[in-house]
Amino acid sequence: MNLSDLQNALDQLSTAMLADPLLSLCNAIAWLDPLITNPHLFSEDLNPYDGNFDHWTNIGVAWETARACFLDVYAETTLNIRSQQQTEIQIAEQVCIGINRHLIRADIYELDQIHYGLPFAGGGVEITSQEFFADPMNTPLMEVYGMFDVEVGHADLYSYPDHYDQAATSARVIAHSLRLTDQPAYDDLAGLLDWMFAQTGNASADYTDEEFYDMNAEPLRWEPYDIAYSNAMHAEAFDMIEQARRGLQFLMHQPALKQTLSRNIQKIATKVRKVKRYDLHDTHAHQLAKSLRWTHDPEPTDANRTPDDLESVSFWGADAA
Amino acid sequence: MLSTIDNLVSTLEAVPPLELAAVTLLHTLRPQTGEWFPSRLNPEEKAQVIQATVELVDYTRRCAEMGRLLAQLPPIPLCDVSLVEFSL
Repeated sequence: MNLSDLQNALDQLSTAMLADPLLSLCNAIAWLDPLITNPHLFSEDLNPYDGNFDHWTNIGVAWETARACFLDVYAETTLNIRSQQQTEIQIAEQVCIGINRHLIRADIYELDQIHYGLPFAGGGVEITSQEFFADPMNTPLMEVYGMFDVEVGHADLYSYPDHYDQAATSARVIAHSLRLTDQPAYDDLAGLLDWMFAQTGNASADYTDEEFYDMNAEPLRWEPYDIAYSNAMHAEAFDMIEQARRGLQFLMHQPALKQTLSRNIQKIATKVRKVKRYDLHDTHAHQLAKSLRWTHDPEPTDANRTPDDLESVSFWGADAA
Repeated sequence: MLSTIDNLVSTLEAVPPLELAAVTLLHTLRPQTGEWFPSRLNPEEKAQVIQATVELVDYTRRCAEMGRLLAQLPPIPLCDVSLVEFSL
């Protein structure tokens, strides 16, 4: 038997198998879904903290992750592995690109990241970073922090500026007040204050990468539900930061509004002076917010109330401060 | 009971065979050079194969889920059916 006979035999066997519907299906599965019998072939018994992994291990884990979460990436990777026309580095790059198609605003940069859960992209203000405030997009923020008597952009990485917590409490009340005006531009300004003091409620908008890392937070897993959650969180954070930047632009072009904001900051700062940051209840914050007035609004939103009403507002925990 | 079984059989026989793109592509793209699976694909074929893989995995997952559900069906006692084979 020569080589030609062997090829003929193989061809006949293949033809015979494809003539049978069940064997055709089995062949198609073997061709396109080789992980069907063991979807945890690579990640089984693998401890991500064991150390550096080679490209093939990364590809293997990403390949089975893709089967669970990104079927098109799984199919692409299967074909790329089968074609034997790419190096492992090229295949790893292709898998990265494929996975990033499914992630919103939180890319993976190297396939090695596949071992450590979903990527987190912190968009929070880097309050102590000189580089952050040196960026022309962020430089005007220093002026707004200054209104709150908060110095930012110092290189001491592990401490927050003096007065930060008190300023955050004031900012929260002022954001409430701005939202009460129902003016879109003031709503943007409220978004700016939320972002500046990490009070948006969205982790990606509130924390920087470093802060998130230092928290030792458990990363989200490579599972469909977690991926959907992470995408929604990062998309929302992006919108929040965009809104904050619109608010910053608006404020920088409104000298009268800057004066009003400064005046309102001082007014609120005296009222929340003894309140710990997280002790200010929403109800009280709203009550205080109603006492403020803005340039478009000649009368306070609670004009019927007397100042005495506001003076009598008590704050839980105020004495503890 | 018998008519119900007949109905079930005839219903199942009337179900058209499922056309899976993966099986079709395996037939059409199979190389004549001794390779078992197609390996050299142009971009258009590659896009088709990717779509077919998505369909195939979805199909096998549904089958596995159906098998899991069937395995959990409680037994149904057939009190009024006589099974003459048992007496043999």
